[in-house]
Amino acid sequence: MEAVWGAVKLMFFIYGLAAVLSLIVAWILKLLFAAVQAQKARAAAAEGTEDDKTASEGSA
Amino acid sequence: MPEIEFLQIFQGLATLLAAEPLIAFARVALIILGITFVYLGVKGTLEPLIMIPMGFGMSSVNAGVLALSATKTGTLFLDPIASDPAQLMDALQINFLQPIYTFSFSNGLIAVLIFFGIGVLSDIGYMLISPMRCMIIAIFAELGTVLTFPIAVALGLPLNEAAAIAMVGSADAPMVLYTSLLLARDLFVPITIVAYLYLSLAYAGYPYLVRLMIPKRLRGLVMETKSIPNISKGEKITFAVITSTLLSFLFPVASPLFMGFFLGIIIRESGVKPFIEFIGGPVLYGATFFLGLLLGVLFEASTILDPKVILLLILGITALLLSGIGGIIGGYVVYWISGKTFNPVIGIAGVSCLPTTAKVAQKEAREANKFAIILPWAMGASVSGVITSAIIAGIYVSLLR
Repeated sequence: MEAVWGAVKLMFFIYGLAAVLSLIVAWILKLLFAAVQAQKARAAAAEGTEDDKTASEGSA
Repeated sequence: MPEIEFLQIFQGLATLLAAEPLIAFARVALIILGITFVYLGVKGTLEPLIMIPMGFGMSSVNAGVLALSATKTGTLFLDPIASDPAQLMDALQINFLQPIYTFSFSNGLIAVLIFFGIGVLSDIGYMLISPMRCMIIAIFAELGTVLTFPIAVALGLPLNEAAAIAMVGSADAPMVLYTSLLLARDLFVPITIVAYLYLSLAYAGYPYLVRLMIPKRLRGLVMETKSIPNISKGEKITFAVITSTLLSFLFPVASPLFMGFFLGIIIRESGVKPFIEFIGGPVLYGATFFLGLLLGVLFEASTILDPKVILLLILGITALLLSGIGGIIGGYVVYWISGKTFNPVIGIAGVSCLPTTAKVAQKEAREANKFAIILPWAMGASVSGVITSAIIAGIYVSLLR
């Protein structure tokens, strides 16, 4: 009975640890994706500003 | 002309007649079982890639028993317990499958080779659609992998063997092979055979579980496909490198599995076509073929007569059933979290064997509503399931080896 109770406690520990680590992996993925998207948006915005500048210089 | 003894010519028959009745009966039963596996594999009822070589190996090895000396019988296939260098040299020269077993099987290399292949076939981009939701489903779908552990202990198995059979709940047979080699070497043959056998049956049974637990209205829930983001190869490779390094750092004992899976992903995304074709073709299919054949060859009469096999059969099916139920519960949890916009059938795909459970999920959704497309999310849940299973394998091996 003691062995079973020990196994139950171990099960909760293993499940909890696995859940935390899995969510950390998902969070890394989310963070990475958000960072790349933000960088893309910044690059696009910078490109847009450059285009506007060139267009206004051309019309002048 | 010398006197010829009939049984001297047909040694297989002689050893069968000379064996103890129980052994002789088990051998005949395994020959029939092996042929049945081949038949069911060819028919498509069971997974043909594994069942055809495994069934044929099983029937051949149980038929091909001969007298090795005056007191000993055996086969010319392989000696699974040869470990002493001199004994191993003998075995390598006598048994025709010994080189493949010794250099690829007993050290877990074959499981890692299959993981290379799974990595090459996996598009991690699906997981990037909704990483948190996919991972929540994957965690729930490990219910069998953890709940079976105390059940097995309650039924009398020691902790290491209980963990090895509980891994069947991960529905990832190469992972089961790898962990059972590390945790319960004496039982790795029956545990891995139970895993492969039940996986074939579970995929036939999971659709019924889905229909039982999810009403048709929810099975046919249409998901917003516009929300699938465009993910670059660079992002996928970065994720694979970071995650593999982190997990290998945390669980060095499972690092060969992490390395295999994530290297496969990196090769896929790097676009090196000769590597992709080599790993996704000859390596994956070659390893699968020899895995099946060697498992069959290792399944001799003495293996089935181990009283623990019955227990393993019960625990294996319990693990897969609990994981299936857990996955669907996970699907429901995400359905509620997402404001009822997430199809709960995707939950079954969290039971990780790529890509079969994802296909099961898509098929069930499509049957309920022909406009329901859930495969991208289901693939994401499946990839997450592989990662979660590898994490649990790493924890089990680190704690109980």
